Amino acid sequence: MSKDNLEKISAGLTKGEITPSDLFKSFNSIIKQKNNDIFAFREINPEWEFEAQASTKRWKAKKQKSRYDGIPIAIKDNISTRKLKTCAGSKILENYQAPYDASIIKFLTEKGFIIAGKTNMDEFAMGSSTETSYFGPTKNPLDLTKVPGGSSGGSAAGVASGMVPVALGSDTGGSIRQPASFCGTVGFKPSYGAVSRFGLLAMASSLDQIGTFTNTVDDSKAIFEIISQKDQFDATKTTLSKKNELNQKIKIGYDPEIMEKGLDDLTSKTIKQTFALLENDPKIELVKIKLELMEAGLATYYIIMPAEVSSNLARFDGIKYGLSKKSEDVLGVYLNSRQEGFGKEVKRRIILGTYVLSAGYYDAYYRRAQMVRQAMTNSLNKILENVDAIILPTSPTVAFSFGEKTDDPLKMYLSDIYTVIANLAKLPAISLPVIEKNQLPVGIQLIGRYLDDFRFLDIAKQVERGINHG
Amino acid sequence: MKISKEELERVVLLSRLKLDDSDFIKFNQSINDILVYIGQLQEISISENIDYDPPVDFEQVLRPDKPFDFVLEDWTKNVPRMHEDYIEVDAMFNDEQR
Repeated sequence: MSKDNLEKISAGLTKGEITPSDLFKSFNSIIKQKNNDIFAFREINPEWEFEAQASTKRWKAKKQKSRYDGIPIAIKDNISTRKLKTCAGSKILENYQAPYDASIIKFLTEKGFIIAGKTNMDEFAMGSSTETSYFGPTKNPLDLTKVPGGSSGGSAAGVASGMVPVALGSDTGGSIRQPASFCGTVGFKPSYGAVSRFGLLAMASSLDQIGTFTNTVDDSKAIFEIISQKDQFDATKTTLSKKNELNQKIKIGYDPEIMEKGLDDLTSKTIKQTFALLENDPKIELVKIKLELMEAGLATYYIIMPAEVSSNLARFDGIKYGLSKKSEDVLGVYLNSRQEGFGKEVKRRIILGTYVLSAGYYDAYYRRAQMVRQAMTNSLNKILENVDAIILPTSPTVAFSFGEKTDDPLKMYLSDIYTVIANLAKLPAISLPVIEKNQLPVGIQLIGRYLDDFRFLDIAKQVERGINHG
Repeated sequence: MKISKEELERVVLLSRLKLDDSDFIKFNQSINDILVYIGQLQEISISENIDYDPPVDFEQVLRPDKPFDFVLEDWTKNVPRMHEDYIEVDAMFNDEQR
């Protein structure tokens, strides 16, 4: 069953060749075999076996909830689940039990998906390596000496190692696409507003989006169709464009300058080979474009994101939930609880965010960053009027070693240089894996038009075909 | 632009955080490095007359205006300290401030 795609598993269930109980046995044995080394899962659903038995009964009675009834899915640990703890990789939420399910959990379980467990992540999704988790690091299943990327490293590692066929993650500046690139899976971040965020623990509310880790683009589309439902609990959930057909030939824009600088040797070589394949694809036309403000994107992101972090994480005060340390007065409770409950990266971003929002610096940093964000969004949207999608690397490097970037936050932040622009401009983006024998995978990123996610996934499928069949 | 030691102390308190001495020195250094990096935005030439989008194209889906089942224990099970049905907190002001 390992590494099978969703459609194949669903076909097996429909034909009666396998049952949800078989799926439980198969995937659970892989988890038992690999999770001690990889640590993709922080917690496994103790009810999984019973839920699989119930699903098996439904299939036998021909009363299955959908063709996906009984298929396991892994959930990043910052998405609220009523039955399992939601810790967001942090000590401050070590024992937190959400009082409700996130809307997307409801959408998935209504279709019969079974929550396999909660996956490890960087603390409050702040990191690019899953090294900042309070519960310990996740390892890259393709090379245990390397990081899986982050912040959704557990979800990426879970799918890449065959522990689950699909997983959910969240992406604020590349937290789905970069780990997908490092672990060799497909990682999809929908347009901002395409998927309900109700129940997602907020990091930076204008950038956060829930998305998928899968083995194929088709699987991403299947999950996206389910999770992109309207939601009365999230006012930012927006209507998607109609499912338009693809043109005979799709136009993909690329910036030659980006292909020349800042990439490691393997990434650069793989990108060039991929371009050669796509150039020969009769259904794809590569068009030169100029991505302006690309480098400013990262600087913009590291102003807006911490500003929103400092505001969103103010709620963790030791009073209503989470770790609480006693003191003589209420200020002391705040200081002691947050001092002990938050890790260093979280504290750094809260402080940075408080600074850029403080009187005297607001105009120089935050207001300026919002202007650049809008200018960049306008520029990207203009490019996307003439091309169907933009192609660029997902990350400047392949997976790096543990500890390589932990002492230099700025070096770690540079991992996000190619991914943050899609979040800033609210655009859908996907990382497709290119895997050569005996080499670490490289991610190819596509960015599409705002709220045109279904057509964008069809484009991604065309490119996936071009990469795999070239 | 760089942040001074005194400014950092003030911002750490505004952030409702505490840092020990060794962390303070490291944070001062790393935050200054980040501020230098993000300072590049000051050099970029962009028009003041930008067409701004609304944050999202809202499409409100309203909930039915009906009460729903509410189990108090579900919402208070994570509260660190309760006194009967109330959340218990320490005094806002100490004896001198009262």
